Amino acid sequence: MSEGRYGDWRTVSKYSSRTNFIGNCMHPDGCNFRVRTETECGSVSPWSGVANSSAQTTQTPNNSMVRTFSSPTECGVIIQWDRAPSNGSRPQSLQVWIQKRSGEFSSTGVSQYCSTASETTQCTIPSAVLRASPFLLTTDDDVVAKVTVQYSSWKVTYETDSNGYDVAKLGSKPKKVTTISVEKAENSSIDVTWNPPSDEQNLQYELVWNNGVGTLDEFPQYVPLTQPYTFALRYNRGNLRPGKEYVFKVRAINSCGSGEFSEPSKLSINQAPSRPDTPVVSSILEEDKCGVKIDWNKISEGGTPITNIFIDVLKKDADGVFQPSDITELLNKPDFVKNFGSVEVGNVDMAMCPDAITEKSCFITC
Amino acid sequence: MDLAVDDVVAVKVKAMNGEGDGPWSLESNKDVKVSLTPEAMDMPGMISKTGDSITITWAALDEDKTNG
Repeated sequence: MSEGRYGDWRTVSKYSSRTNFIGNCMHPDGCNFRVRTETECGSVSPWSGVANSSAQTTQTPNNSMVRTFSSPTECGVIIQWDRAPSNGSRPQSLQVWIQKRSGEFSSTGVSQYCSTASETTQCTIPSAVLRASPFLLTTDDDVVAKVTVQYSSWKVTYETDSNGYDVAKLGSKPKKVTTISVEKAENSSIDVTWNPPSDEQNLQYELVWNNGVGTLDEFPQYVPLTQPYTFALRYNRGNLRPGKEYVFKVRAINSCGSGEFSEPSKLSINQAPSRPDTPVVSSILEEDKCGVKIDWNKISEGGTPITNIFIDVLKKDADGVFQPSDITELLNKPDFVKNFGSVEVGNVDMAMCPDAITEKSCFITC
Repeated sequence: MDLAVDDVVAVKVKAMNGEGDGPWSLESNKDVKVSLTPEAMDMPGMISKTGDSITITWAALDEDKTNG
């Protein structure tokens, strides 16, 4: 029993020379007693210290009678208390108090959110109220509450214990997500992962991206990727276009609002070149040229420049079956390097392989 | 490349970049024979010249010079 929990005192024994009192104490916290002496001439001694009838047997509870915790659904703090017992006397009303930043308690404006009906056991006070006068609490301040229960002839005050787990911190918007990473995953998708901005629990996240439009250096326009928000710390995005730069950023969201977006993180998806269209073989009808001309459409480079092209020549055997003959690599051909070093390639003069190869054709000679 | 006149060929094509090899294309058309243009013919000869008319003759290309 701590100081400050005393209700109204009432006299149970007066003008008695006895030194004991026998009676029934129906109060759940026990009854407090104090004594003083009055002489026949009327002088009165100061009150003694206070003794409690159940002080010797009261065990420290695991939980406070009054608890505060962050609301998971709105930006506020839930004040919760055990239902006021009615051992012999029925509770008539109650009042919730919040500790101001200065240390004193105030109930100003609290009744708007917390009923005074004695049967209530919980109420929620918006964070904005706690940040305002007279409480003036700020983010991460302890929200300490007490509940005064009015019985017929006494009051009992229950207070949040400062035990560290029954006291909520005043919440705010989440902090900035500081760690976001993007990695290439299976099937040319991108894995985006991030860490919570703090020790906060039950945060949701909003992930946005540029959808491959523009680059990080070109002030990309972001669009939501997670709709609705996600509780996960990972997101996989597929169906991406090779060669595009994908930029992601994420922010945390709680009942108080959205945190600041993380710094953007980018990744480009590159693939092996796509399957070329079916090539076309034609005869060379030029004097002194023996061979065939092979044409193919421009090959999609997969986001990174093509470094080599292979031509597999199949020759028809005596049985009419086409058998593999030779594979020609166009790597290191001067014109190949010249023409494939950039995607901006135009046609060049045809000539016999291996001396010249264009973007889309070459000659295989006898 | 081991090609010879009268060979009938088809081809497939694939490309490679820093990410690896792409898939082979389908096989091309299969109706192309490797050939050379015929060799040059012998110089034609003039048989006669009468007034404003001339008569020219030439020898048919030998079989081994037609290149197929």
